[in-house]
Parts: sequence; C-alpha cells; structure tokens
Amino acid sequence: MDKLKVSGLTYGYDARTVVENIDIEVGEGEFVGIVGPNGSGKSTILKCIYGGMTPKTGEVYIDGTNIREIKPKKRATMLAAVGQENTIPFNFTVREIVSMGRTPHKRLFEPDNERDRAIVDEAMDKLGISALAERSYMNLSGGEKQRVIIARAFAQETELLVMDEPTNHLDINYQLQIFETLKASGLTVLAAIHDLNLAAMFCDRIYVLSGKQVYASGKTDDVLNRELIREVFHVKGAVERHPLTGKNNIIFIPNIQ
Amino acid sequence: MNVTKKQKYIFAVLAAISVISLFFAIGVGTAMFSPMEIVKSITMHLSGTDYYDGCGLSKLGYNMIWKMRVPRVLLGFIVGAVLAVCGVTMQALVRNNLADPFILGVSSGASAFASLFMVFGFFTFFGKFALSLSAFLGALVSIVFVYCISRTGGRINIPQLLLAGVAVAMIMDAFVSLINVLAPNIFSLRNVSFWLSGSLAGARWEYLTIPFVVMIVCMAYLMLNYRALNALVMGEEVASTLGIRVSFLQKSLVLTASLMAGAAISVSGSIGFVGMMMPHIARLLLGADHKKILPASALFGGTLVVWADVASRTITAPEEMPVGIVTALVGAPFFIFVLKREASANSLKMN
Repeated sequence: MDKLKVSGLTYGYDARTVVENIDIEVGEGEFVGIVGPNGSGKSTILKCIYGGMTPKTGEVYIDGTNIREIKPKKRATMLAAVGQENTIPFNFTVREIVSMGRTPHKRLFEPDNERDRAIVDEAMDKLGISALAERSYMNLSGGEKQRVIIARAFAQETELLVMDEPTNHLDINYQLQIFETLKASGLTVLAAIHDLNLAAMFCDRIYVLSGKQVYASGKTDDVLNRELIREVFHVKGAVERHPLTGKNNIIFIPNIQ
Repeated sequence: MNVTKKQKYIFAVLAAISVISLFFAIGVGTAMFSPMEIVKSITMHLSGTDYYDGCGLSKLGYNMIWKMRVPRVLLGFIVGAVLAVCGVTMQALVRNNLADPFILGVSSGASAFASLFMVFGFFTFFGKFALSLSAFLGALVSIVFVYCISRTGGRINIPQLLLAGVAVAMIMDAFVSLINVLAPNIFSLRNVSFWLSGSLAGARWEYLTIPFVVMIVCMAYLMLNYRALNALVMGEEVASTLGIRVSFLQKSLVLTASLMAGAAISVSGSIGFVGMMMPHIARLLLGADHKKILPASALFGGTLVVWADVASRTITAPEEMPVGIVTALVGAPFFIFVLKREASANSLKMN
C-alpha cells in the first residue's frame, strides 16, 4: 500500500485551472521529488495534500485512508508539513517552536513530559540546532530558521513529510546537510525541489510538472534527461553520471558562449 | 515549554506586587487608611463583627473601605486583567502585537451599543445583564467588522487592520456623542466621558460579578487551549498542519475577546492601551508562550489599572480625572514606540 496517494487532483479558482488531474504515489520510505518551472503548481499540489488548500476535485489518501475522513489532530500525527511561509511575529525561542511539533500528541492543557522533551532534543540534535535552543527565532539567520521549522516537523513524529522547497535560499552546505538528514531519517518524503541537481542527487523518483499536468514521472535517472530539460525548462543541457557522486549531474549550456 | 525556575520567581514577584498594589490603592485617597485598618475592616466584615465595637476604626472608615474603596480597587484589577487578556487574545487572532480593544475600535463599539441600547431600552428583560449584553454585542460587531476588512487573501494586512480600527472607532464614538446630545439625561453617572475615557468612580460590589465570572470562564478556556493559541501565531496553515481546527478556534477567540471587552467596558467605559501594553511587557519578561503570557498579562493589567486609578483620583484631587486619560498618557507613547520599532525591524528584513 502506498504511504501517500494522490488521484485525479485538480485545483483552480474562478475559471483558472492551476493543476489538472494529478496522480502521485509515494511508497513507504521513498524520497520523491516534484520538479517543474516556476508557477507549474508544485506548491499548490503540496498544499492540497497537507491541508493548506482544498482541491476542486480529486482525492488524497494517507495509508489508504482518504484525508477527508481523518480528523485534523489525527492527520497531524500522520503527516508533517514544511511550507514556504514561516514568519513568526512573536519572540518564541527555538525550543518552544520545535516543541510545538508535539501539539497533536497532547490533550488540553497537558504539559510537556520527559518523553516530549527527549523527542524535541533529538529533533534539534538531528538538525544541528541544539546550541540555539534558548535563542529567539526572530534573531536567527535564514538557514537556521529553516532548520528550526524542519526540526518542528521531526518532533511531530510522523512517518510522512511533505516539504515545499525545504532548502530554498539556503547556502549550499545547509542544502546538502538538510537533504542528508532527511535521507538518513528513513522517513517517507515528498518534496518540491527547485534545484534539479539536488533532485538528481537525492530523489528515488521524481514527478515533473509542466502545463498544469504531470509531464513525466519515474526513476530520477530515467526521467531527468537532456530532452526533458529542453522541453520543460527550455534550456540546453547535458546529463552525465558524475564519477565522484555516482549520481547524474546536469550541466546547463548557455546560448552565448 | 514548561515553566522554568526563573519564570516561577517572576510569577511570585508579580503576584506579590499585585497584592501590595491592592492594599496600597485601597489605602490611598482623600482619606488615607493604613494597611492595618484595611485588614481590620476586611476581617470585621468577614467575621460579621460590628464595626463600632471599639477596635480603632470608625463606622465611617469601615464604610469607606468596605463599601467604596475595596470594590473600586478590585473592579479596577479585574477590568485591567480582563482588558490585558483580551489584548492577548486579539493579538493571537490577528498575529500582531499592536492589537488592543481600544486601538481596534472594539471599546468604542461596546460603548456605542451599550449606550444605544440603554436609550431605547433593548434587552431590559435581561435585567442586570442588559448593559453587559449590549456591550458584548457592540464588541462582537466591531471585531468581526475590523477582522473582515483587514483580512485579504487569508492573511491580516496590518496597515488595513489599524485603519479599519480607526474607522470603526470614529463611527462608534460619533454614535456615543450623538446619543449623549439627543438623550443627555438617560444616565446620571455614565455620561459621554465615561464611555470615551473610562472611569471606576462609583464602583459597587454588584458591578464585580459579571466581569469576574467572564474573566474566570474566558481565562480557563484560553489556558486550556494555550497550545492552539501558540500554533495559531505560527500562521493558519501551520496551525492546521499541527492538527488545530483553525476556523473554529478563530471564531471562539472572536467570541472570547468580545465577551471580555463587553464585560470590562460595560462597567468601566473605555480604558485604552492596557490590552496592547501588557502582553508586550509580559513577552519581554517571559517569552511568547501563551501558557505564561496569559496569567502574566492578567496580573500586569490588573496592577496597571489599579495604579492608573490611584493616579486618576489623587493627581487632580479633589476632582477626579478619567482613568482612561492616565492609561492613554502612558499607552499612546508606548504604542508609537512599538509601531516605530516594528517599522524599522521590517525595513531591516527587506534590505
């Protein structure tokens, strides 16, 4: 059974369709990427999955259960999301924000116990932010903030993570570090990824969006080839296996040389 | 997110300051009473002993303390606490620390409806609840109005929020003045200055019941849901991925805030800026976790209004100055300071 299954998902407002008839399947423990040009609907699909938007038609299943039939609190113990918008207006500390990941596991007024604290400590440790625990989130750098948000998702203790460009705007060392952490966690991940080389390096499978639909999908190495890069992203490119990483590496060739 | 030792210490100090402030405020005024006399008066009342049995307190003194000062000071404390907690609630709802029942026109709405309904005699069949109920409805209408105007595309637009608040306040204040011109003799005590700048003068024991019950009920609801409040501050989308039923929570917060604003304003008029300042100060000391901010703001708010009331009846003695003028003199500069700081923080982020 698929961990996550999206079938026939269409989203739009007024007469405008943003995405049309999207099918996505993510198996247990898989790391699946969604790539596509700006505005191709990556975020829309993810929001329809994690509840930020309600699809016009189509269904989303987690562990075979339609999410419409799962109570919000229960759903938050099955799926954690990292969105793109993470401004926080008040001065919460890093520990407080990561602790919020425990929210769906707690009853009214129930305080955090030893186990919650251990989970929060472990999540912060995994993302390398333990030293920042008592710092105010507001004063952190972009890379630090993003790691705090991912740690919060980890503290939610879900088996499924849905992430919208989790390493956008981050320095390359953080990009690699975060993807390595995600990969090592063994969780099932569905992530929108902007950088094709990062997708090639880490994703087991990818979905390529173009023209409101899934243009291609399958094993990353099979899908990301020169023709697809020309067709979907409108650039000349070359794809070759890199001897150091053992992964496909995409080189973009500018028109003026 | 549990309470640390240092925070427990802060709470102990806060509670002590609150109690000392209560005693001080009861003692100070045109007639001065020592803490001993206050304790005597209270124990006399509680034990049912006669006041004139020669323990150093005159009948007049006892009456002044027990029938005038104590209810006035307690009412000030409760109103301050309710306004501050109302501020916390509104700030969580709009995700901005400038929200306050006075600044967003909610106080004005409550005042206008309260005076309007009194003039036309609506809700009289609710007896002593009529005034509070009218004020609650006025607060509710204003919050819903301001909230809907300032919400664009699922987010609260801050300049729009503040401007909507100004607009609602102007309309509602105009109503209060109009009613006062058309029907000036409807209230002996509650005149236009009462509704516009607040007063605790003439407080009686029976005024305390409704605000006190509302405070306990709303505080209990908010404390039970402190995690949901924290999550909501993260944004609607994040709150929903954390398992919060966002639209239900938002509606319940609008109701809670209206109840608190209505209860406070029907007994004290508009006392401004308490709801904006107190959560801010509480956050500076204790961080942003609502489990701590809610009780701390209540203590701060109560203490502030008690002191503002002392100032209002001593500075211009024997005349009384409306207590809302005192809080505005302190609060308005504070508001400008926070507004400026927010603006410079935002411009830093953009660069």
